[in-house]
Order: sequence, then C-alpha cells, then structure tokens
Amino acid sequence: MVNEEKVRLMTKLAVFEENKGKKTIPIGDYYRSDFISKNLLLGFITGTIAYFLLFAIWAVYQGEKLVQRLLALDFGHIIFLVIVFYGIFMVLYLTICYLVGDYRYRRSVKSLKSYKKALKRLENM
Amino acid sequence: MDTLYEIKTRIITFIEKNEIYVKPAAKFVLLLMAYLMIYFNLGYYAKINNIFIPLILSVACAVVPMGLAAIVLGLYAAANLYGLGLETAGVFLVLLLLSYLLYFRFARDKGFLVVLTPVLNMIGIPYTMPIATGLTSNPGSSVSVLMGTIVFYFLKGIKANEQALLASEDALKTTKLHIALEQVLANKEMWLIVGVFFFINVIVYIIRRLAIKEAWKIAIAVGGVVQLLLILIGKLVLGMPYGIPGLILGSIVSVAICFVFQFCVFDLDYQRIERVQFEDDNYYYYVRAVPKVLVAAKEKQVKTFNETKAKREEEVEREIARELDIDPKNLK
Repeated sequence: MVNEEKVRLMTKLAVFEENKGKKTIPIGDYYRSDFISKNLLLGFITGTIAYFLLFAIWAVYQGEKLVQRLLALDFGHIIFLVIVFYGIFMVLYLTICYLVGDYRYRRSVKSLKSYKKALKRLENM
Repeated sequence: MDTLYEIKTRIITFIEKNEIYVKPAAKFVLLLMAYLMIYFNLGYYAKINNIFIPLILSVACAVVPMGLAAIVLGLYAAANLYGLGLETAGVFLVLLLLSYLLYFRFARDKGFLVVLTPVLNMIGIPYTMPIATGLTSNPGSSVSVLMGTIVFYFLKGIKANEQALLASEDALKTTKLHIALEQVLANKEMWLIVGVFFFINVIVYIIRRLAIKEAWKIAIAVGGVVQLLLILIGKLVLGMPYGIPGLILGSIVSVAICFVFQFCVFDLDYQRIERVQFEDDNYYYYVRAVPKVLVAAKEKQVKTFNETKAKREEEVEREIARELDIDPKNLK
C-alpha cells in the first residue's frame, strides 16, 4: 500500500534536490570559514588575472606615453603605481567575494535546515 | 481590467503547461536575433559568412544552458571580428574573459541579460533593461546589463570604424589595436549610458522595495523619467546632441514595456510542472507534480436561465420518445 503522505514529502524533497538543492546541498558540506576561504582563494586568482589583463589593455592604449616614461627611466614610479592600484583593486574585489560567499552560505544553511528537518520526518514515517 | 487579468492568466497557464517547448522557443528567438544582428552587421570573415551558421547555432544553443549559449555567441562574434584582424578579435575576447573572471564566476544564470541587452539596443529600447532588472533582481544583476551595453557599443564602434580597420591592413598592428581599444576606453557615450543604467537600476530597486502603495509603478515612472533626463543632460554636456528623438521615443516605449512587464510579473507565483523519480524500500516512484493553480483552473459552464423553454423542450422530447417507444435519453 502506497503511503500518500510519504509520497508527498518525498516529492517535495526530490523537487528541491532537482532544482535549488543542486547548488545548495554541496555548500552544506563546507564549514563557513572553509567555504568563504575557498571563495577568496578563487577570487584572488581570477582577480589577479583580471587586473593584469586590465593593466595590459591600459598599457597598450597608453603605448607612447608609457614608452616615454620608461625611456625617462621612471621605472620605480610605474611599478609603485601598478602595485598600489593592484592593492586597491584586490581589496575591493576580495571584499565583494567575501560578501557574496557569506550571503550564499547563510542562505544555503537556512534552506538546508528545512531540508534536513523534512528528511528526518521521512525517516520516522 | 478583468479581461486583461484573464488574458494574463491564460498566458501563464499556457506557459506552465507547455514550459518544455516555450522556454527553448523563447531562447531560440532571442539567440536568432542576436546571431542575425552579428551576421548582418559584422560578417567580416568570409569563411563563416553563411546564413546557415547562425541558424544552426541558434537552434543548437536553444537547448543548452544560457551561460554556455552566451559563450558560443561571443565566440561567433569574435570569429567574425577576426576578418578585421586578430587585434580586434583579441580585444573582444579579452573583454569577454574579463567579464567572466570578474562577474560570471558568481552569476552564471545571468548570461541571457548580456545577450538581451545588445539585442534591445539594436531595436532602440535598451532603456527597458535597467528598470526591468531593478524590478526583478538585485543591483548585482545590473552588471550583466552593463556588460551587454559595453559589448554593444564596442561592436557599434567597430562597425563605424570598419573602413579604418580594413584600410590599416598594411599599417602597424598597434594602430588597429588602438582603434579597437578606443571603442571601449574613449567611448564617452558608452560610459555615460553605463553610469546612468547602473544608477537607475539601484534607484528602481530601492523604490520598489519601499513599503508604499504602488511601489512598482512609482519605481518604473521615476526610473523612466530620471533615466531620460540624465541621458539627455549627459548627451548635451558631452556635446553629443544627436539621436535625441530616438532617445525620447525609446524611453517612452521602454517605460510602456516595463508597465506591461510589471503587470505580468507582479504577484506572479510561477510554479511549473515537476517530473521527479525516487524510490523507497518497496517502490519506485515516477511522479508528475502539477501545480494546484492548473488543476483549479475552471472551465466555462453554460447555465440555462430560461427554464420554461428548457422544460417545454424536455416535455416534447418525452412525448416523441413515448410515441416511438424508445428511451428519451436516446434523443439527446
């Protein structure tokens, strides 16, 4: 005999697993600090690549002016500026990565709580 | 108004029932428009300048996730730009890579906005985008709209400078590179639109979240008017007093579209039919979960008020049946 209530609960759980759960359930495997650290590490790598791409675009666009500065042996000043802007860019970008990671983790924990509650109810049926 | 609600309910019911076909069909139409836009405006690379390529790609991409479809579309545009030189295609690819590294790592599902924004720009109603995203999403999603705007203005600039890019065949490669980069870095109009779009997105988002009556409608109206004024003032200040009738008309149409959009989306509890499979110790279950709103949809019922006429007809039928010696039900 099919237990209708059980089927209803299992259906709800399956729908969650198929949709929202695909992103949410894996996040539940992490501690908050691990999840955010992973996000920050990825952010550091992608942010660094993006910064140097942006720098390359700017350098090519500024072509002549940059060459003139280099010819005037203004290396120190250019390197200083590159590092300062890199620092500012990374602080901003990593702050965004931190906030996004934190928000996602908190949201996932919230929906996983009700998911686990429903699983327990199913177990006791 | 009731008729409008009825039409809205019918459309929603139709979409919910046929989601499996409607979603890919909508994706196909959007992608086809984007591919054809590239094909007709930027078909610089002779080897892929064949109408069947955009057609096949739009059909194929209609069934894959939108993020992947946007990447394929970007690569198709880059391949076409290769006809103008490696430098132009290279700059475009770097732009795509930057947008992936900085944004789409977080929001892969927003890829369709990057495709939709240039398409609406082409039609002349891009002003819909910041308002619509402000209504339905958070300010973070405006980044997709801004990226779509940058892509559109880059491609528009390349189209406007095609003669210079083709003529500089023998010139230094840096000239081509400089022209291509100029379309992004020195494009005042683009940065004006990008700034205004971001500002409007935030304003609309803030207003529609306020606890006031008709917040959505106020957000659309304020967003539409402020957007028009800011772009208008910006254009005049930057010394670009062209395209103003198009701007005004486009803004009016965009606001109208946003009102229709608001009517369709607001208080919409969209639930689709779910098909799931699972098992327990005794059974395998193949479940089709249908939203209650579909089951509850009432069919029209015809009720006869003219009871005397109906009764008379029934009596006549009964008499005929008696004469013929048959069951009166057989006459119905």
